[in-house]
Amino acid sequence: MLHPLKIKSSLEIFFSAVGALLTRELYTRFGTTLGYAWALADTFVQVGVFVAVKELLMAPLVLAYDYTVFLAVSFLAYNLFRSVVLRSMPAYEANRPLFMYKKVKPFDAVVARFLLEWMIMLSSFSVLFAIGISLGKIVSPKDIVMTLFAVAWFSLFTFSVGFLISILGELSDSVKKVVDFLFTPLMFVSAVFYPASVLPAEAKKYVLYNPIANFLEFLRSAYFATLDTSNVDFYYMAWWTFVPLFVGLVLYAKYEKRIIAA
Amino acid sequence: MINFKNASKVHYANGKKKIILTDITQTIPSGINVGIVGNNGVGKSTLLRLIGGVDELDSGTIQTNSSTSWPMGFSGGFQGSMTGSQNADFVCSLYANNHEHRAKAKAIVREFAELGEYFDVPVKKYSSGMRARLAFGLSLAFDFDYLLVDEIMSVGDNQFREKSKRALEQKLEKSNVIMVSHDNETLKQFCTAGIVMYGGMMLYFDKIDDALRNHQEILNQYGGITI
Repeated sequence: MLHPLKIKSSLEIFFSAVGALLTRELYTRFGTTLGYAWALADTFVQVGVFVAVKELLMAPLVLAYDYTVFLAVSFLAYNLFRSVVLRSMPAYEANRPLFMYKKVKPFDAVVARFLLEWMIMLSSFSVLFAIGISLGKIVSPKDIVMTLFAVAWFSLFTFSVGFLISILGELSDSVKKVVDFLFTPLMFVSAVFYPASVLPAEAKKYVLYNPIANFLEFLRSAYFATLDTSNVDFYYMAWWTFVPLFVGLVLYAKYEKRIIAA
Repeated sequence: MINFKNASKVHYANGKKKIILTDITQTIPSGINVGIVGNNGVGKSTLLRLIGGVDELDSGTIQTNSSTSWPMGFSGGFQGSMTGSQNADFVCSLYANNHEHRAKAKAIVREFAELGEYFDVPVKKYSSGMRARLAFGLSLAFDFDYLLVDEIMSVGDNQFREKSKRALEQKLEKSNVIMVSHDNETLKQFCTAGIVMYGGMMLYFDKIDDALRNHQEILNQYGGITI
């Protein structure tokens, strides 16, 4: 009646599963049209609020960089981290019925969600960039190659952490609750709306234990001519990228069937 | 052909241990349609999941060189917040060879399921009859060596049931089916061989009538529910 089914290689299966899941996420991620608008407006609103605060409270303060662009870069990155982690956690629960198809693995669901959040970040970036140009605001990156490298590394970091937490959350519900709770204060200790260099030495020491703060410093140093990497610990960032990924893969190999069958 | 070799499986549900298979070595020959019977909760659906490669044995192996469908039933397989049409898209993009094949498969599902405007309503709002229509439509869209069917044959109105049976008959000219059903008539109509599951055992009978008789004896002796 139909064509016989082609035997697909495991890589082909992986891509077709991620593609199918990505479409599935697009169907349900935004809900209504307003959902699309909000996904893009999110960063815009945050930037607006912090610019307004700065203008109202610290108007005479002159910074060596454009604070609006600074905020846009920081919030785009921070929001990517937040949404990748928070959306990876329920990825298995939300796709469980689809694991009935043996071509679809839980890992594919995490990858699909990561890709979708990345695409949302890219769209927000495009919107902010367009607004920036029309306001005559854009400072182009100091070092484009380094900026792209920083974005790629940071993206891998968000995936690693999101992947590990998705498995831990699957093994224990309290992990999900703790992570949800931690995200409330996390923004304030991640050097999102200030560079680490403005902090007093004591506070800076603690904030730089936060890998996100390191990544944001690195990202902005590649973007802004007036910022540098003096507060960035690259080894520390590498640890935070590869250890979660490795631990995540080990746990995943052990618990994949349990995640499918739960 | 499906080969079970020293296959063992224990299932944990709600903190309770349930023995599904204990050291089963058994061959299901090629080209034969098999009906699976057993009490409620004995592990018939788990057996289908094992054959379909969705679930894994604790020890031993199940080997086959045949392609098997996903286990088609009421639970699983559909993402509730997606519409029937979107769920069909999902499966079609997984299993279709190319765009043309995909469009053709989708058309078969739409046509067979006869869900009307419900095709564009989220699946979580479906009745079990509607889910069965969608599941059955999807089962027709692709050619597997084995269709794994979990109960979906015995729902819906008479007219749809007749239509499903005709479609399955046609399908079985090229494929085989492994079917879980509580309806003996359906099993007799489609299956030549039978498997009776009981307490970790998996008894294979060349004739479905023998399997049904054996299952009836178990029912008479021990009652209908295995705990």
